[in-house]
Amino acid sequence: MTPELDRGSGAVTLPYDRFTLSDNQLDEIVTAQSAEKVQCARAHNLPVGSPAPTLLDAAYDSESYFGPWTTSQARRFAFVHPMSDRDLAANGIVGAPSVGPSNAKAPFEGLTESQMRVVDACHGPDSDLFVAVQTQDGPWVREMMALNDKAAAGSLPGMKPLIDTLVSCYQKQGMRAAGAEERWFPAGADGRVIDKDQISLALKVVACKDETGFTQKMADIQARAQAKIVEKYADELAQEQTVVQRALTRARAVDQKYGLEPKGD
Amino acid sequence: MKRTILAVIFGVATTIGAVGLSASAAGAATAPSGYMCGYEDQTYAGHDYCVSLDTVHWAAFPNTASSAAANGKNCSWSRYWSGWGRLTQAPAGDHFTLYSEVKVGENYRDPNLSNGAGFDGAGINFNDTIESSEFLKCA
Repeated sequence: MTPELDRGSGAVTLPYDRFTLSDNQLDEIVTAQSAEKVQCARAHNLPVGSPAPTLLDAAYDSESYFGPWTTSQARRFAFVHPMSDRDLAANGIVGAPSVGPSNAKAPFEGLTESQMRVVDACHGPDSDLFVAVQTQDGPWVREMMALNDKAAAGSLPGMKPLIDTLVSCYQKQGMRAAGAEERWFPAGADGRVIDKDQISLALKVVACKDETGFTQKMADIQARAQAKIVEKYADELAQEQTVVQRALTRARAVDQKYGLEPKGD
Repeated sequence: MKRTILAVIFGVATTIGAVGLSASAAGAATAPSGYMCGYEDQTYAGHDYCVSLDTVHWAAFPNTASSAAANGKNCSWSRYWSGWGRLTQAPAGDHFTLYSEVKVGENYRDPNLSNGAGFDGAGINFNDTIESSEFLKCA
């Protein structure tokens, strides 16, 4: 179970990722869920608008993995979590690209509280499946969360020397770690700002990661640790994967039926 | 917007952007359009901490939310995070997601964060853990 790093998209796929919904896949399901709610609300003669289509943006596949790890991430996001341009603006990110006014649809806007109670009681024909795929739970979730917390802290066995090597590269470039924790994060970097200085710093980080092979090696360590949990719960995760595939197939059919398939932003 | 400086458990941090809404909105079962909120007590009672679209709202939830409601308007997802990176100045830790009441109409509030939160936080105790947030899938 080796990790997959896609420099083009910025995606880092670890073993457990194969059993869970990506953000773009989740959006396809939530879109279908909402569309069925709208149909039900209309059947109750509520004055609802049209459902909103799925939003596809490559940014949601891109992952800040111990900070930016590709030059395109560094240029577009610096140290900010990858997200769409409209998301950047909505979250008050300094330097977010300018976006025009939204033409988006909010079908339930303007409903009264009692009308929303009717909507709350509406469940489309696929509601159980859509909810089930989003609420999958089991002991592997907690074990994976604990593992991911250790990984994020750089405390899985083998991670510390890799971070030491990265920080040595930083020092050669005139940079230093921001603190005693999260030492992969350089001093002066700011996860809320995209500007020339932040981009320049992010590009130096990416260069050091490339020079040291940092990203692949960290992903290898995390993948090996995840693989133990994935193997331990292989049967349960296989069942989860089946639910995911059924839900995606159904959601795509619903989205297509109502003309809500993924469109670029 | 009233700005509040709070010391939070996750290191000492400045929380900016937390808005206590007016008395008429506070305690309501849903968040106003364009906001995502956390409430001090279960069932949307007690002091509310809300952030709005298009504003800087760093670590706005000081580990006290016991219920939550989201209405990100044209932002489908309101994601609540258990941490705030003091160094990275970005959301961190574990998260759960609520959806926009007016855009999605489903999973837009949770009256009790201790027995699972949202759909993707099923079975996880998020009570009094939320520190930061972000709006996602904005159209």
